[in-house]
Amino acid sequence: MINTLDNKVDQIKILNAMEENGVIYYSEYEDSPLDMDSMTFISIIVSLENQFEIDISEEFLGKIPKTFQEFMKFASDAVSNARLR
Amino acid sequence: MIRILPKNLIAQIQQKGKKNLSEVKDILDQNATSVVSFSAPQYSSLAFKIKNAITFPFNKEIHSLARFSDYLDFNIIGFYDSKYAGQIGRTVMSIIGNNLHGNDLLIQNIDTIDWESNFDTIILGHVTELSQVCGKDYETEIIKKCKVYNKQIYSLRDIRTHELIGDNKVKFYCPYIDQPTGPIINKMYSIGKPVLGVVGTSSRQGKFSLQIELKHEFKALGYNVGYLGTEPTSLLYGIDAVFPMGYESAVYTKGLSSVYAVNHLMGSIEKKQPDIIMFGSQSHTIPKYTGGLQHYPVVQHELLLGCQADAYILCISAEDSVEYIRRTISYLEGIYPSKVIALALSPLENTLRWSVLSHKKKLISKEVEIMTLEKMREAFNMPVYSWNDYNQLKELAENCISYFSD
Repeated sequence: MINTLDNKVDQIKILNAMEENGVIYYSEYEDSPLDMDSMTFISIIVSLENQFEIDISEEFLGKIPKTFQEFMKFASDAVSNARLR
Repeated sequence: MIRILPKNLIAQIQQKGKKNLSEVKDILDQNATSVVSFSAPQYSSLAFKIKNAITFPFNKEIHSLARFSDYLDFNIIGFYDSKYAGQIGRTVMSIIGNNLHGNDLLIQNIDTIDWESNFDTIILGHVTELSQVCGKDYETEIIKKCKVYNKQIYSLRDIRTHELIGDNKVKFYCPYIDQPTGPIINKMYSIGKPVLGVVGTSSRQGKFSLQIELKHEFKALGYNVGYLGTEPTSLLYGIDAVFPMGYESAVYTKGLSSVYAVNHLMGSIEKKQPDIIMFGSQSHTIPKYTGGLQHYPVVQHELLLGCQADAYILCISAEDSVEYIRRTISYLEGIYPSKVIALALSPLENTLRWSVLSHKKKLISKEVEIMTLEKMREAFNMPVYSWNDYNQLKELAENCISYFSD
């Protein structure tokens, strides 16, 4: 899923936001459940907003991803959506 | 105040004929070799009325308020949260699940509060971690707004030392138990009412919800219940006193001072002449693991010593081993002549990922529930209830009453 992101820089920023908060992405585990608590999730979202200088809308944050694959799609969609607004 | 008296003084006073209380006090003062002042535990009381409240954030403690909103003597007219928790726009019911008691308001964004609307109080939950991860000092922002718009604050965290609080321009409550400022009297209340403790084998079992439901059932059965809570929200439910020992604890006493403070609170509850006094503990009761200090339930021990329960309801989880429950029962029945009269099976699984702020509480399956009830009844030869089932909850309450009646 990560390879479908348009921009290599964006991919790295998303991975950085995860790593900064203790979540390491391995493509072979992308179907695994997200082993993070709510605070880690919030920390990653705040990091994404800071790295991309965007404001992720509250409607978008209502769809909490359950796997790494879903999270990568969620992050990439959130960034694209915020840029369009 | 304690008067240290010479030997036989009381007998001498009695021999001199009848005296009124004031005369006796005068004689004691005149003859005392020394007079020592003692200090009572310092604890908070709720000094304002709440009519219409809003809450922030929408986390575990607030879930309980929403679930039991018809047990409150005020209205909750808005539930607010940070957008980052991912709950904005959802209904309260969709998050807390089986909402028998509450309303169905939508969770709103904290940044959109209309401070001029008709709420009089904001119930401010635990926001320390949320503020840290969001890089936003919610507590300070809310206190500032409350000062400007003349709103009251019921804070679950101790905010007495916040820099904006000191000027007395905002009405606030936060629970705390302070260390007595002077010597404490070496005497304890001997509680003459039946005392029932609700304790558990781990955190996040729903112990507080069970207590609230039991209080309601006892009342429905015609009994006046005195209640010592340990949740910072306790006074919102009309609970008599609080020993706020849980998350972000504001219990500043240690060891014997804590036992003294708890006993003092129990004594103050007994003075209201309830039929039964109930108290609830937090988290686990004995160490399950030994690898970290958080597993050592020292404060729970102080609470149990101070409360001197006659009987306990022990909340258990489906994943608890028989051996662990047996050790817990032995401990509870060993520290005082008390009895564990029933086990209450938690309806919640203990593998929660979204536990701090959010809503992923997973109910145990019916199969696991039935299997666990059978296993525990066989192992312990005592009543085991699934308190999520109203009929079983009612039976549990009746069982408690009949235990004390016998």
